[in-house]
Amino acid sequence: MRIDFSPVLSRLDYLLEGLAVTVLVAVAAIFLSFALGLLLAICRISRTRALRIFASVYIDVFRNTPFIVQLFFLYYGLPEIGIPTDPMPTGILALSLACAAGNAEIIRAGIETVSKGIVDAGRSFGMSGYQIYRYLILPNALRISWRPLGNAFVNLVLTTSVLSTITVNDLAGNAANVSAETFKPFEVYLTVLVTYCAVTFTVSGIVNSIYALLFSRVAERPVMRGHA
Amino acid sequence: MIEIDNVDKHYGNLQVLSAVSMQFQDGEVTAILGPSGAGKSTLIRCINCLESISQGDIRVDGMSVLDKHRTAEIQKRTSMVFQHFNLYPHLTALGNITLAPTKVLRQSRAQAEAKAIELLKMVGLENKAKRYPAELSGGEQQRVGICRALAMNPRHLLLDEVTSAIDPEMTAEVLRVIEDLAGQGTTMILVTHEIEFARRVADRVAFMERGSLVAHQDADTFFNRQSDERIARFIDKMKH
Amino acid sequence: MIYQNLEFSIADLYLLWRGLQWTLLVWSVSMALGIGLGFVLSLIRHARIPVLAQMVVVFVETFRNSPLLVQLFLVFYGLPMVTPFAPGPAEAAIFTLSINTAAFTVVNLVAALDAIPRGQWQAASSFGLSYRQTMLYVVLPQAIRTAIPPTMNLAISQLQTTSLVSIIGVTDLTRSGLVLYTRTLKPFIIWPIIGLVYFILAKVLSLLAARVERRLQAKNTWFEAAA
Repeated sequence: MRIDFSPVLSRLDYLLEGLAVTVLVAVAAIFLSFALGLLLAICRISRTRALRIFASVYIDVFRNTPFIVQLFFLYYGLPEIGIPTDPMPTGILALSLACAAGNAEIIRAGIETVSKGIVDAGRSFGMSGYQIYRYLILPNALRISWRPLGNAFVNLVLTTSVLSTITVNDLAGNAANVSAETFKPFEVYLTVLVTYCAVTFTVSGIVNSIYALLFSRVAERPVMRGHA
Repeated sequence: MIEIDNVDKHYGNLQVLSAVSMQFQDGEVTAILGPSGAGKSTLIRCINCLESISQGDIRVDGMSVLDKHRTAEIQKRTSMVFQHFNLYPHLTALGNITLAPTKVLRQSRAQAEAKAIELLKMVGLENKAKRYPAELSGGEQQRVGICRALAMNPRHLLLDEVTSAIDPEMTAEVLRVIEDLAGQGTTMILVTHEIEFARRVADRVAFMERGSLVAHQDADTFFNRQSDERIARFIDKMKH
Repeated sequence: MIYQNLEFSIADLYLLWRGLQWTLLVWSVSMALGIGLGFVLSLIRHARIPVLAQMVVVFVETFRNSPLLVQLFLVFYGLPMVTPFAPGPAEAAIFTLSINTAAFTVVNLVAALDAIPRGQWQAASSFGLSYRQTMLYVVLPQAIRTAIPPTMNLAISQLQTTSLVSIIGVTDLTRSGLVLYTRTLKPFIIWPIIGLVYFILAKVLSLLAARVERRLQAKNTWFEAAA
């Protein structure tokens, strides 16, 4: 059979609508999962035992079960307890909950890597525990975690495609529809595959630019010598 | 005044300080000397409430380090300069100096920055105010570290081997700053290995060995009329 | 009225058991194939064979940066339209997961290969060892040891990813969950059970991986002591 992209081109606007949904869902989930991950990371190393246990159980459960199972549990399960579910909000919620677990581990590792010396310095000048966290530990932990977080964000973008299984009209979902209409699955999915690559490259690019913008002068580098 | 009263400190079975008693008078510069592992740094970290003591008491201007409600006040009065600088890597030199004054002393930003610039001028780094620690040499970082401690207007300045992590050719610039401060009557306790430097700036010298205070004398007696043979040998060895 | 059996039965346990078998089958076969393919591709990439090495890079980046779900659709629905190759669900699943795993394996192994200092190559060639000999006796043993922990982590996380093959109709664990859900409409019971099975599998694999890693560590210390 001949390869023919013209049916794909004729439904390009519909695919682009899907792309917009994918981007929207991804951006929302990136922000939510980051905030939630930060909270979990702080709980995970808090002095309060109950918070610590809650966070480690949460992280363990969400990291060791498939996302699609979590998604089905929420999407089909929540109506059982009287909470109606719309595909898109439920999808964003599930994605944020799942990715928060991974982000929490990354941020926790970052917090633990922050040098003990700067905490000493903060304490030695009488800064409170909260001030040390807020002004010293978190900004540095964020810098240390930034690149691994970027990888997690790329992963999140790829995972948004699973939301098509609960009828979210994202890029993957619309691609399935176009494929069924046009009988050109190869051309449709190849196009979409490349489009996802473009999206993830863009995300990586943004992550790297933010790093360069915020942290390039901060990151440790060989000490410059011999100039006053 | 800082009073150390029969202080013990141990980590598990390891005794780091044993029965240390001494006093540091206001306006005095005291050098704490002794071989590595003598507990010198631990002692000043205990004064600064960075570490707790196992037994005895330390009083800073009459406030006991055992009283947790006074920790913040003691830390406001005693400022530390660290061996490894411990500058905040995410803040500029200016940001490093102004953070604690604005957050702990609640100074206005303008006030804190004016003071910071003044201090940076004093150590010859006014043109490096906007640099990050990673962009500064070791000697420059430590001078910023000194400014950061002084910005708190401490009554007692604690210096923990401030030149031992710096390239030899840059120690002079740091020592000069400390010498100036000593000349201005700042109360200082400095742990150091630079024996010649101690001789120049110290009013009194404490000598520690294996967690105990062996001698606490005025500098002239310590360096010029040393009766203890072991200490004399140590001084002699450190000179070379 | 359509009769619907809303209750669970012993037969459902069998359904889950079959699902578990499919999950493990798809997972183990595609891990073996994927890691093997990744190994070959890594050697091509590391040797910088012209054209082929660049193709490996394009392959790796494409499959790392696109969703597995779309890859599955491309293989399962797309390939039969343009090639004589018309895979069934299980074949498409294994094929796609293998390729996906290979892409990630290349990243791990190439990093490990590149981490071997150039000095070792120079030393080996000064003793007259050929490229093949140096690779076989000097470089690969070390690189593989470095690449084992990340590859084990990859395999463990791919176990979760296999759940997506249910969408193209492989009757794996997740698919059996869907079947039970549509029949009984009890999501609050079914999905936690399915999740628990995956959870236990992941924990067992993590324990095994930790043991392997400890062994490697012990060996490494021995190597260092001998050096």
